[in-house]
Amino acid sequence: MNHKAQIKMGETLGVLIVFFLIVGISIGFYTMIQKDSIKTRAREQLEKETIRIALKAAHLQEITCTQDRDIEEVNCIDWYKATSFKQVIESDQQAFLFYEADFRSSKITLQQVYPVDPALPLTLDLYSNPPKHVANRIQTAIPVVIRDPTIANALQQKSIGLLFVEVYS
Amino acid sequence: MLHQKKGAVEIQFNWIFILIIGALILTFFFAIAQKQKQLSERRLGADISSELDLLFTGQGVSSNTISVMNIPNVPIRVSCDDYTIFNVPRRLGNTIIFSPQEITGKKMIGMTLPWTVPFKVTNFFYLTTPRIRYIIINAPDVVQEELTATLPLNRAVGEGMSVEFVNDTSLVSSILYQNNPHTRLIFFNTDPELPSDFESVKARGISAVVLQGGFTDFDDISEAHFYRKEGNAFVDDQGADGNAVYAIIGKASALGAMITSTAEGYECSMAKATHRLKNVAEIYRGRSDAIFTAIHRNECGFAVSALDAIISAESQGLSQVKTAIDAGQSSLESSNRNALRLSCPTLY
Repeated sequence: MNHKAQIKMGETLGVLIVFFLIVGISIGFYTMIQKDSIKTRAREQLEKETIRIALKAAHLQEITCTQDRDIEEVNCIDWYKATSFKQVIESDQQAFLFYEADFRSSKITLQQVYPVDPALPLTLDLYSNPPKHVANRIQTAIPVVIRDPTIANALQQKSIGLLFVEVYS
Repeated sequence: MLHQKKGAVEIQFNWIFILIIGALILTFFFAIAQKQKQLSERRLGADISSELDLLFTGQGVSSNTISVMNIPNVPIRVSCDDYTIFNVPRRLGNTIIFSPQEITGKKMIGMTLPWTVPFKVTNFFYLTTPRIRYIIINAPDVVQEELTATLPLNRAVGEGMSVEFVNDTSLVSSILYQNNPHTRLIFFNTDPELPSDFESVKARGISAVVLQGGFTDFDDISEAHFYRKEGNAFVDDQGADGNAVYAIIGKASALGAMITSTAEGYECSMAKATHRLKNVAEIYRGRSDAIFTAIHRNECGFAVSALDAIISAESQGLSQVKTAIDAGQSSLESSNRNALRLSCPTLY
């Protein structure tokens, strides 16, 4: 009788062990799928972040061309505003921290494409804040008009450029 | 007899064993379900936040926009620095938002206006819902006309802002509570009064602001005095710096004081705005020096002293910034007009 009870107990324990084993394997499998899904979501988030930062950079009041007090020229960047913006955030830590709230870990570069004005640098790093360890990066380029307001001829004021936005995670 | 006793002990032990293991399994699955619930709430919060973030960015880059958005019926807590859904906070960055503390319901109204001083500094973003009731008391005709033209009022039911104009101050005491999550009383040049029907309403359900100024147009509003409900009366609503009265700089700022529900929210958003103004003024200052050096034309001078005054006023508070803007506005405008007249590059 004692032996019979021991067998019964062993059976119960066996069932429990198998049950928890199956639960454990299921949790492991679920975690593995979740890890993949987290990676995909992180990539999606970075893509959205890139769009957000690119939009903000292309419409940044501080660098865009204006015709009058609040009429913006779409996708037009004033070279002198951009240069001054770069100087301000490089010389003023408070200003850099202010724009960091919007641009976070990214690099924003303005590049002349055509016609290239040899008197001006080919590229202008407007903002640069890469993290110490880059796990992921996405770059996007926005075609823009670059305007040099010092040129008297309105037709020659404008050239084609690219605004590169690289976002890190 | 001994066998019978042994059997009874065995049966009792089995039941205790089943109870313990059953409780263990139930606890295990209950914990998983709880964790899963928290996880999906956080995920939903993150998804909504992410969509809202893109929406704010998209809307924020254009001026003079109005949009009515369908949102999930979850409370969104908005402060000047971030907004929170299901305890998932999302930073607002430099987006300047004027909003009530909590957005509830299935519709959200977003509006943008440019902040110009006289050059454009940034867009102000206004967030509210059709469920929040705005009662505008004793507003001059010119202000009423501008508000009617600016705010989304004449929309389909439940899609526009809920705004009422009360022109007779003696009618304020008889305004009835209509179960709105928040009621904002906006007084023009008159002391605030709590309608008797609101005496039993929770303090966070009602707030008031008194706008003061000359009122030949919307830009003449000079300051806003914020109030909150305490007991059966309105008392000063103080911002983080202890003040309840703040300067208004232009129409966009006046609308901000009307829509935001606390002095703290207004003060914080305007601090962000003036910080940005300082940066923009510094950028224009640097740009004007560089242009002047590049073109070598003495007649193309800029009103840089007005920019310098704005830059140095930023650290002294909102009132000083307003003084600097008021003092420099005409010289900045005439400097830009002169530049256009003389075919020089404009200051802004």
